[in-house]
Amino acid sequence: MNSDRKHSSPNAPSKGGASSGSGLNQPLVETEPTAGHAESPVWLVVLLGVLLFWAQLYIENYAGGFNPQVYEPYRTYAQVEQANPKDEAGELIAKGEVLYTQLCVACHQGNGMGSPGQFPPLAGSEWVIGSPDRLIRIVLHGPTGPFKVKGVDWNPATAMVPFGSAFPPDQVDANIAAILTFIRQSWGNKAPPIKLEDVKRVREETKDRAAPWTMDELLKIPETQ
Amino acid sequence: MMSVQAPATESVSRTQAAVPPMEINRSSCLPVTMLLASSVGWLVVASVLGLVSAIKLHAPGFPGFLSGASWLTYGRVYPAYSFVLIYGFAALAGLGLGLWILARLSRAAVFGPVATTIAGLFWNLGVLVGTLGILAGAGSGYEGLEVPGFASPILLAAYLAIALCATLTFHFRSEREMYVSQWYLLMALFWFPWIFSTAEMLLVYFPSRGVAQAVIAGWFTHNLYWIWLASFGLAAIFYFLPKLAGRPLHSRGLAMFGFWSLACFGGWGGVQGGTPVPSWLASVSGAAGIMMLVPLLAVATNWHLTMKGTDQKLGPNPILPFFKFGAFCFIVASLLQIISLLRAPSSVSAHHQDLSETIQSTFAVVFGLLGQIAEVARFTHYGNGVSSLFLFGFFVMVAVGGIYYVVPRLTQCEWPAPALMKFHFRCGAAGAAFLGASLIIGGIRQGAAMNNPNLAFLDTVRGTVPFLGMGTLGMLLLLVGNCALAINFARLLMNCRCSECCPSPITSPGGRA
Amino acid sequence: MNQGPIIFLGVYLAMALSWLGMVFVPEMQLGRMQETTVPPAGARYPAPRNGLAQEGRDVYRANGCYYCHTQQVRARGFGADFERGWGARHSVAPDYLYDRPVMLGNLRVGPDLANIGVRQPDAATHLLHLYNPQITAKGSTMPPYKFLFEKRKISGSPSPEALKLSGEFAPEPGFEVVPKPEALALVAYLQSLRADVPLFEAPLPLPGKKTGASSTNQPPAGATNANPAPAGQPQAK
Repeated sequence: MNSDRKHSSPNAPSKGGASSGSGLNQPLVETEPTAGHAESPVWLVVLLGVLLFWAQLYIENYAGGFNPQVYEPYRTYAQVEQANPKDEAGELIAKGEVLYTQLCVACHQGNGMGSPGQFPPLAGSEWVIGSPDRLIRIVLHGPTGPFKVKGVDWNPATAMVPFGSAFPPDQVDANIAAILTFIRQSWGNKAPPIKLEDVKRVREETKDRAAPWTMDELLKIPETQ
Repeated sequence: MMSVQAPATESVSRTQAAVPPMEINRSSCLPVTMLLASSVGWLVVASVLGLVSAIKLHAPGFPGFLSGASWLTYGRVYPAYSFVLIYGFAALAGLGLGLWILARLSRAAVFGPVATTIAGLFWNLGVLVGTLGILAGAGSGYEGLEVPGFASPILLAAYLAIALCATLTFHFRSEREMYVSQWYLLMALFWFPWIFSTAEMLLVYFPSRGVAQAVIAGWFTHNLYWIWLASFGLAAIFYFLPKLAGRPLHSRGLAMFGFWSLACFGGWGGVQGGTPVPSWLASVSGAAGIMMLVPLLAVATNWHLTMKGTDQKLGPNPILPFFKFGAFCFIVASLLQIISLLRAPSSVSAHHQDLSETIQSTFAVVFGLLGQIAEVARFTHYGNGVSSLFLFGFFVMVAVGGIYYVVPRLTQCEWPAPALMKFHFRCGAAGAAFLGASLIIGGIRQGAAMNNPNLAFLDTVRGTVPFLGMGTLGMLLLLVGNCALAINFARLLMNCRCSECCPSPITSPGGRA
Repeated sequence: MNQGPIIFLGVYLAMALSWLGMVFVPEMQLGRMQETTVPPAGARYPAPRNGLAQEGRDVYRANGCYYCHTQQVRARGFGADFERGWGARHSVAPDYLYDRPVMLGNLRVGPDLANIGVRQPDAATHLLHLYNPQITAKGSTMPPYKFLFEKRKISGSPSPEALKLSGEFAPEPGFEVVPKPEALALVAYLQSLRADVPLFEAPLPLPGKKTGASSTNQPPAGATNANPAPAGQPQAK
């Protein structure tokens, strides 16, 4: 009990002064609050220690080594390096998957199997893994009429959108090359990537054509490497 | 104090004699009443702006006849509301109450009362200019720092003047032993100029390049709430709770523990997971946020043990409920804030499971759920709900309780309509509860819907409308309650002046301390 | 023991440390960033905005659009940002290099806008949406920005810039609604918002490594956006 904290008024306020509101039962002189001397609970100090331990683990695992190029969800710089495509084909596939998810999945589905009676499959389709020129034409202007895919006849009521006019002119070649490379290397398909130059060349060759392609027209185009 | 034989009378003062409370009240009447009166005025303005913006969130065409008005669009009314609430009401109430509490605990008269009053007037000018600027489209573009660049120097200069006067009041204290509230007040007085000037320099005047701005803005806003405003509010609670309960605070050591842990960990938050900044920033913010559990539990324990067992002994007290409710909301808001900080352990990495990972996953069992909450609560009304609970449930209630307590003692006049205090409490508590709960629950539902890609985005928006309606109801209750205070205050000021302590009405002889 | 200076010193230290860690170091790391070049043609990234788009950024700031719209996309697997078509890869610092202020946003009352220039490049749709969001997104809670437009009497023939309004949204006969320069600037800014170029920090995730569920029955792309493209007209890129 330190005597030097006494003031002109007693330390322990009387009961009457306890309920000091703005009411009328007011002491003449008020006391300022004081602090008691109970000890800090031990559990709080233990909690601090536990949380500090956890915090350093959390930072070690999620802070990416404080590297400015490591963003969520990557945890180390090595992961970022690994996630970057190693070659042009990898870049095309990654970009193609994004575009496929945005534009093609609604009909051809995420597993490339299409929908029976409605949309033909892409997985294992000879049109996909076969001639690049035929495939590019299908995507540029769309198919029309009956098609035979994997031995099955298709003649869906809903026409496929001609994607040649779906993109701005400076992006159409790159985007179509990306999508086609992706579908040629997914779901078990193993065909060489389609290059930007291929799409450009085919677009040049067909620049006067607007109508969709029938199966017979496409089969007239020779298989190129 | 270590001195063995300190006689009771001598140890009280080293530099000067202790100033009696009545004298302190008299000296602080002009500046503090002026600061508090302006704060109440801004509170009403903020409540009106808040109501308008709350309505516009779910009824965007409101009001039909003004739908072509650019100054009334949500994107301008909401920042104006936020600015007026924090810089108009909260800052002035904090400074006013803080100055009075500091003077009383220091047993010293307020230093430079006239300078403080003039500075307060300039602060009001700054808020007015800033608000008009925001409504005119000159907002800075940063949440929490909406004030246009041309108004902020006024605010900063006024704040520095008031902070200087308060610090000098403290410096000339006659009571060397410091009480808890004084620590928090010193922290609040010092912290704001630094974060405000840093933010203004690096965001508004000489903006940093790119996303560094977002980091600094997040740091500023976090410090604004969880250090600056929290310090004012905690200082008030630590002062009034023991005083009104008639007991000493439970533990000084625990209070010190809470104070230093708040100072250490509170300044590191502000960057949330998923922000386009390097992941170490969000990790550090998240870790610091979790550490905030420590000061939170420290103050909660202290308050609880101080108040334990007082429920039966205390008579009816219209002011104590403000502080109890405010303390409760501080704890709830802090907890809700903390649980929204983490992220779930990501499964992207093919990280092999080493010892630290194993220990981590043990913690992850506890914190994994919190990470899910963070992912759902992000970008939803949840954040606004937490800050509404903080501002209206904690800060406004505590400040208003302080105003109800202090103003009669300054002006030596009773509140003209004491029954309105209870009415205000009920409106304020219900309003804060409605607003906070509706935004938080609505936010969680909105987040869950947004994270489900099979739901069209418009459906997630439509799903929030009933909750936003509840929020508007809460805002209306808050406006009504705050108007009750304004009416009371206006009538009191019409009757009383500070220049001479109001000749009327205190019944006890010698006045009220 | 004079506690005052000790408290002051301790608070100063705590303040200084937080300033160092959360202001100074990020400023050093991020505030000196330079633009990068990206394949295939070594184009600059981020592409600088033209003057009209910069004015539009000011309109965006003045009207507080960032209080309801975010401009940051999370990585695949976090939330449904990718599945909603809001961005091919998560947003990173280089995307905001020239932004002043950086308006990342914190609340999604409206959809994310980081790639709105990719999702919705059509200026006319944007103008209609700004004039009265109910035209393009019925049930939306976005306010109408009529003050960005001018309703005026048709003098002679209708102006080519006039909005094509019909039904309950059309003005009285003899009047047309024309966008003001602020509206055009804002639309130019929105059209400039794109962050789809893969970067080192944010590569497009390689197939098979994604963490989030990519459901096979995705709704048609139109349903997840506030500005659905009419069927049969796929969105550009």
